[in-house]
Parts: sequence; C-alpha cells; structure tokens
Amino acid sequence: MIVLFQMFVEGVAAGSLYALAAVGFALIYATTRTFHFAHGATMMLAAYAFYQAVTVWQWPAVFAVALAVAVAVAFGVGVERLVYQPMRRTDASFLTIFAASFGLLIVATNVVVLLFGNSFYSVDSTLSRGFLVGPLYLSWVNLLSVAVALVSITALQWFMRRTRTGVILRAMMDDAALVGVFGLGDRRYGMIAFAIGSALVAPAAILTSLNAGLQPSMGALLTLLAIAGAIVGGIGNLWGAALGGLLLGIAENVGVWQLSSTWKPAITFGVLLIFLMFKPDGLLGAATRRS
Amino acid sequence: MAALDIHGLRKAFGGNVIIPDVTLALEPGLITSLVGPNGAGKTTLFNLITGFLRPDAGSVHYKGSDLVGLSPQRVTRLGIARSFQDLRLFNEMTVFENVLVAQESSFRLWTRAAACRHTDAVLERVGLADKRDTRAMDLSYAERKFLNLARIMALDIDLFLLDEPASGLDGPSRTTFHTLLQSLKDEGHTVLLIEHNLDIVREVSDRIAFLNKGEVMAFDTPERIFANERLTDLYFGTAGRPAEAASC
Amino acid sequence: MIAYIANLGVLLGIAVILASSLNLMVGYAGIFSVAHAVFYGVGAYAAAKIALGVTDSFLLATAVAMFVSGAVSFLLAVPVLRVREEYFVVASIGFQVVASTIFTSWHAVTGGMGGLAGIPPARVLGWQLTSPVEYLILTAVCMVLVLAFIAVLVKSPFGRALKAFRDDEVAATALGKDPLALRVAATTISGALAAVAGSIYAFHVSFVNPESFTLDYSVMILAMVIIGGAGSLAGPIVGAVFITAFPALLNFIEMPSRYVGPVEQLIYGASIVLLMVFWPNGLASIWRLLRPRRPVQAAGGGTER
Repeated sequence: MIVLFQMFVEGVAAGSLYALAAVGFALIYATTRTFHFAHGATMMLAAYAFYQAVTVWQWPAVFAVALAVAVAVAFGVGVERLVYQPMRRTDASFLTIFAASFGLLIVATNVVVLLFGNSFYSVDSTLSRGFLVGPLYLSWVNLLSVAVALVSITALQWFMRRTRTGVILRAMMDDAALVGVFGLGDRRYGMIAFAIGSALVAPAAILTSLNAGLQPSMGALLTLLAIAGAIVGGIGNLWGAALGGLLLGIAENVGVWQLSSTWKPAITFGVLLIFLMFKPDGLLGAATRRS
Repeated sequence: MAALDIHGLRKAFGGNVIIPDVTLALEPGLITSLVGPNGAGKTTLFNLITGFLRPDAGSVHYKGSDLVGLSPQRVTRLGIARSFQDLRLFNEMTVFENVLVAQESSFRLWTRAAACRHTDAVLERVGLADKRDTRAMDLSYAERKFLNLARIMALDIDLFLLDEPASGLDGPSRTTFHTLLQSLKDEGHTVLLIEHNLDIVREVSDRIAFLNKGEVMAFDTPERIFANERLTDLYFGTAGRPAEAASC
Repeated sequence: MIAYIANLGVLLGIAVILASSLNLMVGYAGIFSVAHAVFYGVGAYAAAKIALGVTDSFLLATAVAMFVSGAVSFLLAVPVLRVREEYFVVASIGFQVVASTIFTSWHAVTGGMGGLAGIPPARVLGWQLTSPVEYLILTAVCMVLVLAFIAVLVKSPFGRALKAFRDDEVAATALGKDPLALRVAATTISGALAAVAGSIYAFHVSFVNPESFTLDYSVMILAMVIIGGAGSLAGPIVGAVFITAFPALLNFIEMPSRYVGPVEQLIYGASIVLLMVFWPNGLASIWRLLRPRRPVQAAGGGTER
C-alpha cells in the first residue's frame, strides 16, 4: 500500500510537468490552430541548453535557468515566425502544417544527437536528493515540480483573465477571425501564444533533466504526453489540459505498479484510447465529435 | 400528407435563441420559397433539417419518420438533398467527377457505365456538357452555381433544399435556372428555396414562407404575401443588403 | 555484386509498397499515421509464424498476414477515427510505442528481442526461391500488383469518394457519403497492403525481430510519402527511391560513421520542413512544371475547415 502511495506521489510530480507541457500545447493549438508537433522539441532543446550551461560551462543555476527559458522561447517564436506563419498565409491545410511540424521535431532531435550524441546524460544537483517523510520518500525535485506547476498555471490563469493580451488570446481561442475585430493582425498574438506556450515547457525541461536525465528521444515522448494530456483534458480548454497532464502522470506511475516501466507509454496510450472511445470531448472540453 | 412536416423546431447557441419555434409543412410537388431578413435563421433551418445541426426541441417528419438525430448522410440517403450558399464544390476534381461521385456508391471498384451515362445526362440538362473535363476550380461563377445544382440533381432525391442557388446570376443564366427549377417541379419534386431576390421569388414560388427572428410569420401564396404590407415593410425595413451573412 | 544489387532492389520494392500503401491514408483519406511500421511488422510476424508452423507457401502466408494486419488496423481505426482525424496522429504514435513493446515483450508469440529465426525459403506455386535475384523478381511482381491495385482503387468510385472528402468534407457528407466508413476502409486496406511488404521481408531475410519495426522506421515511411508528395501515385515511389538511395550517396562524403544516421535523418527532416513551406506537393510534383497547366495550390490535403 505504501508502495502504491509512493508511486502516486511520483505520479503527481511527473504529472505536474506533463501538465505544463499540455497547457503550452493547448494554448498554442487553441489560439493559432497549429498542431505544434515540435512542442516536445522545445522542451528537449531547453533541457540540453540547461545541461550545457550547468555542467559544461559551470554557470550559476540562475543563468542556466534563464538560458533554458530563452532557448525555449526563441525556438517556439522562431518556428512560428519562420515556418508556421508563412504557411498559414498560403492557407496551408492542417496536414501540411502538421507535416512541417513533424519535420521540425526530426531536425531538432538530430541536431541534438549530432551535438551531444545519443547517450544518456544527467545533471547532478543537491535538489535530486531525497528525504523520508514518515514512510514516504520525497525529493526536492518532486516538490519543486508540483510548486512550479501550480505557480505557473495560476499565473497563466491570472494573465488570461486580467490582462488585455490575455483577453485577446482568449478571444482567439473562441474564434481566430475575431482578432481582426480588435484591429490587430494575428501575427503578433500568434508569436505571444508561442512564447508563453514554449516558456511553460522550460521548467519541465529543467526539472526533468535533474530528475530523470536527458536523452534525445525525450522530445518525441513529451510531445506525445503533451498532446495526449490536452486531448484527455479536452482540446481547447487550458485547465482541462493541465488536469489531463496530471492525470496521465499519475496513471503512468501508478499503472506500472505490477508491470515493468517499459509499459509506461502503453499506459499513456491506453488512457488516451479509453478517452477517445468513451469521452472524446475530454474532461472539460467543448464538443469535438464530428457533427 | 406533407412532403416535409416541421413541428416546434427550436435551436439556441449558448444563450442565443436563433430559432425559437418553427412549424412548417411543405406541400408535395410545390416550390416553396423561404424569405426573410438577414439573420432570420434560414440557413440554420436547413442545417437543422439536414442533420448538420441538432435541434434542441421539435421534430422534422419526412415520409413518416423523424429526421431529428440522424446524420447528414442518412438524411441525404432518405431522399433530401441540399445545396450550399458557398457552393462547396470538389475543386480539384473535374465537372464530370463532381457529379459522378455524388450518385455512385462509395464501396465499389469499378465505375458503372450507367452512372457515367446518367452523369452526362445531368450535365446536359444544366448546360455543362461542354465543360465535362474542366476542373471545378476553373469554372466561371455561374457555371459553379449550376455544377452545385447538378451534383444534387444526380442523386435520387424527392426534396431539394436550395440555399440561394440564383444569387449573383445574370439574366440568361437566371432564365436557365428558372427552366431547370420548373422541370424539377414537373417531375414531381418538392423544392424549398432560400432566395433574396423577390423577382425570382415571385416568378418561381407556389408558396412563400416568411421567416423572421426564427419564426414563420406567414405561409401563403405569393399573391397574398406580396399584398401584405406589414411583411414587405418588415422585409425591406430590416434587410439592409440582399446577401445574408453566412450564418451556418 | 549482383546479390548486393538484388538485395537493395528488394528493400526498395518493400519501401515502395510501404510508402504507397501509407499514401492511401495520408494522401487520399487525409489521415496521418506514424504507425505504418506496426502493420509492416504484424505482417512480417504473421507470415513468419505461418512459414514456421504451417506451410512455406508464400501466397498463403501473405494472405494470412494481410488479414491479420488489416484486422489490427481496423481495430485501431474504428475508435480513433470516430472522433477527429487529427487525433489519429497521436493515437498512432502511442500505438507504435505499444506495439514495439509488445513485439519485444510477448515472448511466446514474437520470440522477444531475439525474434523469430529460421524462416524457410518461400515457395510460390511450387517454385522454391533461393537466390536474391529470385526474391527480387518476387518483390517486383508483388510491388507491381500492389501499385496496380492502388491505381485502380484511387480511380474507382471509392477513391473518388475519398478525394471528395479531401476537397470538401461537408459537401461530401451532404451528398450522402459516410466519412467514418470510408476512412476506416482506407486504413484497413492500407494496413493489409503493408503486410505484403512484411511477408516479403520475413521470407527474404528468414528472420524477424522488433528492430525492423520501430518508431524510427514509421517516421521514415511517412517521410517517404511527404517528401515524394502525398496524394499522387508517383509521389511515394519517388520518396521511397529518394530515401532508400540517399544513404548510398552519403557514403561518398567522408564523415565518422556515428554521424551518418543523424545526418540522414536531419536531411529528411529539413527536406520535409522546406518542402511543406515552399512546395507542399512534394518532389514528384516538380514534373508538373513542364506541363502547361495551372499549378495546383497547396494540396497535401485541403481538409482545413
């Protein structure tokens, strides 16, 4: 029973990071209708930037974190500006944009493979040490994951409700054509959505590299989790996406109680499939079923 | 028995009631025009009948069964077809293919010669025979409108729902359109037509249903409707432009 | 030397079959799948099982493989396509990951990491295949049959209905076409055809293991379709030739062997991005420039609503 509870705790910690990734994906998808398949690449690049700064260049942690965030935002905004926006202007179909995004993920992954190789890296930090609370084993990274996720998502919620930019982004989520009504091109706001969505994966990148280490395949895996979280939560609903990500983290960790951990992705997929079959609108989503 | 019996139909989007309560019975073999100011809910009504939208309440009876809850493809297979205001042609396909695909069964490996003959006959009827192998995207506006009609004429249909089929047509094309509509009627088909041009409405209609704010204000012969000053006031008073903003 | 060329030919034939069958989904039905290696793998394992346990008849083994793979693909398609085709992408990646886990973990059936070895040489209508050239002939015949079938299919009423959906989904539905039935059928047929490639592969190398049916290979097949040009018959063939022949070209450039794989993938990825931005119809559409015809704008789907 303690084992199960321990797994639940780890699930909440992992799920908090997935929640950040899922919210970022959902924000980008809902505002710009871009199926940003390279979202996981953003996280992978930020993680490697953090690793490079901390362990190779020996930068102080604060600067390394700043670099990770900067890399994430630069990649997200750059891709929006240089790839997605030109395509949207020519009315490219969903599938064309998806294919380009998919190509970006391949490019980013292999750039990292060329620079760092395929092997596994880890970042040593006192934060990854653990301590016992009663029978439970906790680590600072786990606690930090939950805290960072809570703070970031609350901040985003405030931003979306209380600022002018946030209100415009919400209008775009309802109807992208509405943005014209504000007398603003959607170009600037598309980039803002990408900047915020990408910045949200930076904490996930840093904490994952402290906790689980780095590997080039982490990008593709996180894309899968972010999208699955967004779908389970209900596409088009940011808080649903957060909930979906959290749920996947818990399911994945508790689910491997009796199985080998190679089954983790299978559990993610299983949860996704169950939702697609029985609750295709997700936990909090608007109707997505074909008319 | 009515060709289509709409009873107590209601549709709201969020808190916005577009159609509060529509009751309308179409008489078989007649052309009924649906007129009314912009935003009266005409296209929404088409969407509700054909299964693209699901009504909140009410029923749509056709040949003894209720259409509410059926998918668009089921409604079409029962014998009701609609055209779209924005045409929605298969742009990459040829004129011939646009019509052929409409009438043939999807799960078949060979194209039947009978289907090709039928397609050619329909194209002949709408005057597009010489454009047979042109891609839909390369047609003129009027030709696109006729292809839109040809596509549903190729289906085995009793009831035609036509959403502004004549808008933007010039004089000669309008005559062709008129003849076409008349021939559909002569074959015993029932037609429900959304049309803004009152000249056309007067020419072709057997009945007019006047829709305002999602309710049928009047349903009568053209003579009686046009004699009713209150309705003409309502129409010309509120309708700024003849073209309705896409409300579907 | 002849054996080397024959082997390369067999691999190319397999790639053409895989890319062309995936194109039915991607190019015609508008469904993106990153799980095509699964159907290839299921076909290979099924054929290997038949060959090892029942008969060395290639035709019988292939028929069983097509049936099993088609059934698996049907079971994936029905729940996922019921919702939205976008979701299929995600579900297919998940499905690929699960399938890879099953290939490696279900020892009783797949033989685990070690795979299934000792598959007997194929027999086709009493003719025992031994040399690489004979396998090349078999592959070529299968490839031509598969391509001919796909060519008939896309020109048939079925293919026309798929194209109608690709052009305008709402209008196709209004004409009485059932989107779910059509897409599920396309997915099932695509899975069954991939199994033909799987069966050839199993008999040809006489050994199957999970390493041939990974996510990376699924990505590669999808890249063939996109780079060559989705939605045309020539596109996937061009893409398959490009991606199969490409590593041979890279051999001429001096670089450490550990860079070869990533550089290849990097080039595929970059080609996809550049093509989608500047030339969404793929490489195969370049010849259209030579014809005096209006260029087709942004194909690749056109299912945007």
